[in-house]
Formats: sequence, C-alpha cells, structure tokens
Amino acid sequence: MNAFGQVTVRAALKAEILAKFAECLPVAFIIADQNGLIHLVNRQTELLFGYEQTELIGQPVEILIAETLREVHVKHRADYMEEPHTRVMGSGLQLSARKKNGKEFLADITFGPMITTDGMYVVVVVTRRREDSLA
Amino acid sequence: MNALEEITERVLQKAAVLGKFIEAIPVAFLVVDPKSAIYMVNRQAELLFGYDQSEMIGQTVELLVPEALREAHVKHRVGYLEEPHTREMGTGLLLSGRRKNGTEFPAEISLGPLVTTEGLYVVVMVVRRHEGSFL
Repeated sequence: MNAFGQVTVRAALKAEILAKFAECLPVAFIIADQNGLIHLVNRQTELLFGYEQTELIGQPVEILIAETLREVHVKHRADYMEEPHTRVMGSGLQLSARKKNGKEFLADITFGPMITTDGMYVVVVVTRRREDSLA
Repeated sequence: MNALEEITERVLQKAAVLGKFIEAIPVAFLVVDPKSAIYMVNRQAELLFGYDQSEMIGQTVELLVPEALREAHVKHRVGYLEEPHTREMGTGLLLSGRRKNGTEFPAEISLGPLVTTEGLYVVVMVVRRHEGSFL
C-alpha cells in the first residue's frame, strides 16, 4: 500500500471508531438539552432504569430521579445551566435514582457540557453505587 | 449546494457533534487497539493519570497499571479478548491505576468492545474510587 493508501485507511478507521464509540461506552449516559429534556440515551441507560429509549426521549430528566428530590433537582439544574462546568466522576453528585418499576437506587451522577451550534446540551453519566450493587 | 457538497456537509456536522460529545464525557476513557496499545484518550484521562495524550498513545495499557499487577493484567486482557463482552460501570473490575508520578489509586474499570474492520478495539472507562467504596 502506498502512503496515500495508508493515510486513507487510517482516516477510515478513525471515522469508524468515532461512529461506533457512543454505542460501545460501557456506562449509562443521557444527553439532555438546556431545558432538561432527554434527547438521547444509550442501551446501558435502558438496562439501568428499565425504560425503552422511546419512553425517555422528550421527557424531563426528573423522570429518572426519586420523587422527593424532583423539585430540588429542577432548581439545581437551572443553577448548573447558568454556570455549566464538568463534574468528573468521583467528585460528582450522589442521589437516589428511580427506575420505571418505582425502585430506587443510589447513583453517582456526573455531567459534561456540550456546546453545539444548536445550543447547549449536557452529557450526564449515571453509575450505580458499587456498595449498593453488592448489597 | 450539490449532492456531494450536501453529503460532505452532513458528514462534517456529524463528526463535529461526535467530537463534542466525546470531549464532553465526564469520565476518563481510553480506546485500546487490538494489540492493547492505547489508540485514543480524553482530557479526563490526561488529568487522572498525569500524562499528556502524546505520552500515552501507542503505549500498552499496562503503562497505567501498577508494576506489581502488570503481569496479571496482561493475562486478564488476553482472556478478555478471547471472549469480549461489555463490563458495565458498577459491575466492573476493581483495580489500581498508576499515575505518571508513580502514585497509585483505586480505580474501577469498565470495558466496552468496539468491533471494527481492523479488529477489536476496546473502550476502557476508568473511575477513581475513594478507599471507602472498595468495601
């Protein structure tokens, strides 16, 4: 293969990896818009919460939070939108998440702002606390 | 705009959104190639391990594993590649990570296989855990 061929193969591989990357992430993530509406979820989120993605898209993210926390969450996210920043796993929030069947579990939540030409979105990563999953 | 220009524009838009998504993920990750060399890392991985991406890319993943565990890690990853599967965060491995400065930290590792035309790549997510969450 000549040098041009190699560059083409490398570029194609990179494009392939980027295209498949999101679906291969071994963690539940949600992309929400600036109004807190869910735009996209991955398979891990469906498994973690017991919803199909079609049931989540367009809903406010509070659907995934324990009922007692919803009101305060709306406030928190309004504050976050005023001053978006990355909260890394390990320094993030812990809160009670709520599955479709009403069961709650302790979750670690982290966020990363994503600024696009359509405005701001937030990538939210949700992991179940490990202690909880061992109990 | 002609058809080819439209396609090119769509591809570029998609690539730009993907790039932003990847940058926004609030968790450290690496993408590892079929020979277990590091192919791609994000900013969070640079911050967590204290290396610049140029120092990590092309190295085997054991660069980031404490010396005492490296041999066992090579075995584990060979075993994983024989039977690749998604190991989600929360059900992931507990391991130690090693920073550039030699310090170690407890880490949870989750893995997502990414099958390409050039072989199996793996998305590796690394979350620093506080000592307490080991229990």
